[in-house]
Amino acid sequence: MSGADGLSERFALFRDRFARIGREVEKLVVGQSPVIEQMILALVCQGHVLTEGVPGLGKTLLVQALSRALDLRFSRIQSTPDLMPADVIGAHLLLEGERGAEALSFRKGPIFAHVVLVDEINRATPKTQSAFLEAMQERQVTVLGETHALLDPFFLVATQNPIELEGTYPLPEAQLDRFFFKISVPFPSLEALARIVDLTTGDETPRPEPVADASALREMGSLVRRVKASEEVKRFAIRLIMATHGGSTEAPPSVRKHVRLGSSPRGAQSLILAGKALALSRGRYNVSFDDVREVALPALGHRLILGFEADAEGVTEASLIGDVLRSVAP
Amino acid sequence: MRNDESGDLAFLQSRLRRFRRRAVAALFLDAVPACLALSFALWIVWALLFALGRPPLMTFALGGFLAALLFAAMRRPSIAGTARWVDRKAGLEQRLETAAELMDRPGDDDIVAALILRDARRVTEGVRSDVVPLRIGTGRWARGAFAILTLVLIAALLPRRDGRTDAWRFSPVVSFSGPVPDDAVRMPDAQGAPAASGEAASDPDDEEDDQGAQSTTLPDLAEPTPRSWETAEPSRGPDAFEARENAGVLGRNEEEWTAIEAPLGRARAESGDPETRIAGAGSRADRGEGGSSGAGGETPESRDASLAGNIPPGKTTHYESPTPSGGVPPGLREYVREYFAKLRTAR
Repeated sequence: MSGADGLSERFALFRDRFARIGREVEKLVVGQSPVIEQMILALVCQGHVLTEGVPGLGKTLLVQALSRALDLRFSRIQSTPDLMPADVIGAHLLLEGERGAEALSFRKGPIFAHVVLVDEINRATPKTQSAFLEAMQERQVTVLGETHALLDPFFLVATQNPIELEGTYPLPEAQLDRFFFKISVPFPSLEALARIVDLTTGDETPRPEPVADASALREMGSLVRRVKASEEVKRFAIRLIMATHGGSTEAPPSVRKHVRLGSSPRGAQSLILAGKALALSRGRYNVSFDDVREVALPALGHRLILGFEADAEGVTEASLIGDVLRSVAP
Repeated sequence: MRNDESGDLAFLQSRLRRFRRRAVAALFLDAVPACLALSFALWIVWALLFALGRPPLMTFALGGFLAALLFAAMRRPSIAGTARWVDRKAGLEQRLETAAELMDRPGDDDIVAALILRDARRVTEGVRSDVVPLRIGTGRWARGAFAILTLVLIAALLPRRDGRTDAWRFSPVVSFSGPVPDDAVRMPDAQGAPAASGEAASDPDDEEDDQGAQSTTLPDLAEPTPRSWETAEPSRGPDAFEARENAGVLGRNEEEWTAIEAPLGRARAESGDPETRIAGAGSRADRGEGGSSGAGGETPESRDASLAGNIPPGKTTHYESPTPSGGVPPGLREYVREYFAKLRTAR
């Protein structure tokens, strides 16, 4: 078997796994196919996800189902104002040894898992939120000068409620920028809601079967990075990033008016990497303009810092990204 | 595998070159209407600026086609540009474009490159050549070009005549050359021009020396017959001249001339100056009071006729000049010179 044929088979296996993971998650989460696809895209790109939606849409269930389908270790952190960083990353405890000698021992926190769900992250204090920064970026934590590597793969999914903002601490821009995707979970359709009712009120609850594991996920991540993006496609992604800045010549009027700060370079990385994963999941070895367009909203939406007028006029990130996509022609 | 890869590469290169040729042809056809519109517009401007000259239409049409060809050649896309174009037209999702880039960068992850080339070949095999359509542009340029072309064809189909005999052309040119001097005579070649009468042409500067001889050698000019006046131009008859003079066309009406000439003529007649006598007699003759024969019986018409006799043989009068300005006619010049001589004498 030649190298190209072998690689072609691995790419085919990637597509198969990608589809099977999605199917397993959909056993539990009904009517959210685009959200599931975006979640798996971020997962294979080893990026973190911020989900946003009103309570009861199945955000937690989605992450749980994902971890089960991938046979990964899962942990959940419920954020509250009194949550401390030590509650997240762990702490040193004074333990008595077998011979009666006391010694400090590091007790790992819930962040030491493959898939970590941080519920309502905007209810945690900024001090606790910042505890996630190093973990998300460096995939390690440091306690009392001692560095501890996190599990590989490490996938953090945070949720936040866009309605109840009283008593919350909005995430700082630096932390928002570390999320690969921000996925808005929409309200399900009538048919999907009917199926949810049937599924959750019956005597048998479906359970996702593991179709991949951590090593398979790492393999998928390495394959994604071998997909090619032409210079034109890369330039298109960069132009999209530039157009999110009000001072850019390609920025649409709505961006000039409402965006206080545009996307960082991490936005371009997310666009291209997610475009590669999307292309591979659809059987291509190259990124197309459409791939980039399709991932533009989850990759760039949370990277725009809007001004006061945007809030006052009800302008959303989605409408602004739509304007950017219309103003920048490939 | 190597053979497969080189086969894919050769196939893609050959298809891309074919698509590029077709793209150039499509660019040419797209540019033809605009270039023809420009060249025809130039043709119309040319025809308007040089009213008597008719620029060759075929040359301009050929120029338009050549300009379109030049435009297409200048905008000939690169291989990568062609790949991008075909991708867009055939919806190949940047497969060809990525493959074209990898052709230029051998050694960049060969295995993935081979897969991309194979994938690009697979999708390109299903792409027909007419994905780049060959048709003449139909945009607003094309509509403008066809409108201008219609105008040009109408103008080009008008009858073309010789400028020397074309009555349509002659009249507008004369009217465009400015006011017609009243005492100017258009000399038909057959009516007593010196060369036509067989006499040796005299030096035009020796006008005074030849004045006596002209009355004998060119009697039809010295004493212009009604036929010569009317055939030259009916509006130049004595009645018309008088009417225009009365209307002040030449700047002085009859009363003014009388006021100038009457005291002058009396004074000169008393002093016996022959030149004054001639002028006085001439002015009387102008007014129809008659006069003696010879030089003393000269009328403005006979003076101008004698001047017209000085035109070199074979040369037509200035009225046939195609330029709007045409210069100052010799007859008018003489008339003005005489007028100022009279004014000087009067002072």
